[in-house]
Amino acid sequence: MGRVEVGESRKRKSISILRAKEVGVLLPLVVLFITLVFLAQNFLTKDNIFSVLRAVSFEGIVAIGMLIVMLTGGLDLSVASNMALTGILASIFMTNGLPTFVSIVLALVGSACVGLMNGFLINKIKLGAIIVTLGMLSVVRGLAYIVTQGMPIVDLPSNFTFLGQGLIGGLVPVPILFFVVISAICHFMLKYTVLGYHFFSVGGNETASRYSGINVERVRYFSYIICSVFAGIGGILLIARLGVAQPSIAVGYELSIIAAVIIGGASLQGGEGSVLGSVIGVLIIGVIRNGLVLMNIGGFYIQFANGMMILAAVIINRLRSLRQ
Amino acid sequence: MILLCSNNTDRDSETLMPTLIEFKNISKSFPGVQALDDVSISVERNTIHALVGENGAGKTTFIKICGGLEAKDSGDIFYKEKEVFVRNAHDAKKLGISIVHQHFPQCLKMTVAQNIFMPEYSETTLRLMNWKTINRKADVLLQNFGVDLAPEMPLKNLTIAQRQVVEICKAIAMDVDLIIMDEPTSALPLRELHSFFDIIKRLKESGMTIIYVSHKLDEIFSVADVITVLRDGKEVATVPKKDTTPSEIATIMVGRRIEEFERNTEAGKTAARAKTLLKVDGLKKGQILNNVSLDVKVGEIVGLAGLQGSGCSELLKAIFGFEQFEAGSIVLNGRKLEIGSSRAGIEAGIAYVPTDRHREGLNLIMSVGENIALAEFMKLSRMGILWKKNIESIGLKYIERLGIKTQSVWESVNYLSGGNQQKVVIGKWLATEPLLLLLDDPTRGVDVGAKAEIHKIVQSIVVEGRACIMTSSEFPELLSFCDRIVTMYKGSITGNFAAKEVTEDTIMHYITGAGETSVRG
Ligand SMILES: Nc1ncnc2c1ncn2[C@@H]1O[C@H](COP(=O)(O)OP(=O)(O)OP(=O)(O)O)[C@@H](O)[C@H]1O
Ligand SMILES: [Mg+2]
Repeated sequence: MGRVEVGESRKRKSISILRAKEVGVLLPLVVLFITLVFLAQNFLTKDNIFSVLRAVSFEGIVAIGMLIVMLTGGLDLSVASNMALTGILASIFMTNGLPTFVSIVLALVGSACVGLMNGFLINKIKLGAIIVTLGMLSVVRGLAYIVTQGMPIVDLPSNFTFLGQGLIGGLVPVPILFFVVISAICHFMLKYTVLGYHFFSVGGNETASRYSGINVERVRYFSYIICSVFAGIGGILLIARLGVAQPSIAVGYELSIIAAVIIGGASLQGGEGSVLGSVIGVLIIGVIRNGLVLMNIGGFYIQFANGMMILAAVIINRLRSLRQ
Repeated sequence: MILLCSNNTDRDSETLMPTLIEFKNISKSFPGVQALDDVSISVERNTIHALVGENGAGKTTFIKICGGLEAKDSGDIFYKEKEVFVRNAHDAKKLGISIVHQHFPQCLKMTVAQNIFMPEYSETTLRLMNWKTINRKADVLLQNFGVDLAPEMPLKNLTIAQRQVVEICKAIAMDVDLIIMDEPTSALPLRELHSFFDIIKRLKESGMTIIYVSHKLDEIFSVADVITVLRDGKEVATVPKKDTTPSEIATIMVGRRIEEFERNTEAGKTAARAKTLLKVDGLKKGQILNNVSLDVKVGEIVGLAGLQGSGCSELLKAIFGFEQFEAGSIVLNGRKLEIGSSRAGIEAGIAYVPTDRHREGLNLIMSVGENIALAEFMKLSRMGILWKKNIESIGLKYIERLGIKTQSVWESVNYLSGGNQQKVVIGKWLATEPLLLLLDDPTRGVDVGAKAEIHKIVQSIVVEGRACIMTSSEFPELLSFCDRIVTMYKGSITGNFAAKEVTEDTIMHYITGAGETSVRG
């Protein structure tokens, strides 16, 4: 048994890096990227690259939250509605004279409540995640319409719209910064903290986790609350970017977000996935969309391509679980 | 001592009362079953207290209550003289109790070390995990066991035996005073068995108290201090080991005397003259099967003996069609079998009972009847319709024949006790009325009475012009039950003996590679 020898274990490590799931996901991204460099003239420009990155940041942040829920074996279909409601709440607070920061914090508390509710129904009433969050999808979207009476909220303060439209150093859009920081923190949290370990173990085998003394319900609460808060952050940034708060924003985002996470190596059965993979998944979807736009392929096709990507993601998930 | 389970000093400094944990009048019922009926047991400090009983006697239920995984209907638990309420695994851990579960649930997607240290890091916080240290600690535990397993290995790559080792390590990694083990050795191969008993001895020397459940009475008589027998959920006897004998315990367990099954030598002799039913020729598969040839006659029971990794289980799988191989042929009853197709195996009349019943043998959410009828579905469904009454009649027949303890044919297998689940797997394959029966450690976790019953049934089937190949983790079982013993080592057959003319020592010799140059099968 050579596993104590240093040389041997180094070699093993380098191989395991090559074998890592992310590499399998990175490859299509690279291929896509190179193809677009040749097919679409404006693809490889500084402006376009940053605009792609900014465009994916909103959904990307939510995808990280979705990843956490999916690690535990759950699913959250209410994220897109939550994005809208949180952004709207923040806008209402601001237009009623509350300071921007306070408004955002209050709105995020609101989004956390949605997560709490999801967690409560799943943990205590023992309902399935899909049914619960599907219901919440409508409830929350409905709330967004009710509180605005369907009217857009305009005249948002400039220190708020900066969050969505501003550039750091005249170059990097602010949402990208949020996306990167949140991804980095979650990457670390999932890999090196007990909380992260528990997300994996609850999704990997709930009974094993319970038998080991892990409070499975609490872990699940955390996952849904984190996911909802991230959805809230994504929604706030998105509305800051648009400059208007409308109850109809982000409709249908939950599907492409779930698709991105699955493309990134997570499984619907739980216990598998990584931040890095999800980020790559989000990028793949963003790059495809951008490519279609650049090549002047119309909006109907984009809808079609979105659907194909979701199907592809589900097929990938199926193949992966079959291989095991 | 290198064990990681040194005792907490403040726990030690309490005034030592002789009793560590006392159960008073524990009762528990499931819909339709009284699993535990007014059970009182008191366990002394620093003893090994064995708990025995038939399949379904309530041992696992008792342990789950003790570990907070099942709620008791009534009764009290006193731990170190204080009444305690254990509502979940976390409470049990805080008291200093850890459990090796019978059907150990594990995270297959996680690594060995991540599984072992799950209880230690069960408090959900943002505390940092130092994987390096954790892997190193896991390595020490595994070394202690003498198993060569990398802590970073994902659990899904492990055999059931290795996973059992992981489960035991998980329990002893915790800093506890009481370890409860529910059939910890049922999947352990010989070599690991020795290290396991060393570890048990060391644990006891370090002041640990152990509650030990097993169906292997020889094990119990070598380690236990006190033995408690449960029957039908009632505590029927608690005796110090030195005042009793294995056969007395077996009698108390079953409530009647059981006769050890002895294979009729005459039957074996006739078999030797009969025609060949199965001919395996030059089977080859990488390192796993190395040019294996084997003949099985009609009416014969052949025992395959070998250590973990010797290729015994793989050979059975290959014959059945679960395993692809590179060269060689399998001929059953004069017909050559398609390679690597279990469908063809079933159609040719082969039945295969796997070791790991949870992964390979059962659909846990289906009912007992459906599971038994599963392999028979082709016959039962006329034009694609499954007749409920057919499932019921087949189910009932085998429930009765094997003495499966269940509420009804329609009870979910999940709710059956471990040994009874094993009987369902066996029933499922007997129901296909196979020509050739392949049994991979069929009596694992089955109580003594039922074991004799299974032997009797296999024997009766074989007499009707069929044959059986089996493996077992217990060599005495092979010796008393088979006509012929074939030994394997590292994928090759190393010996072929008439069971009556061979001793356990000789078999040990051949399965460890010491007798490699002798007779080939
Ligand atoms: N969750 C459950 N629902 C219904 N019945 C159950 C459940 N768990 C156990 N039982 C029943 O309780 C009885 C005792 O089961 P238990 O698992 O404690 O037996 P055991 O002594 O551990 O047997 P074995 O040696 O086969 O493991 C059995 O009749 C079993 O069918
Ligand atoms: Mg049991």
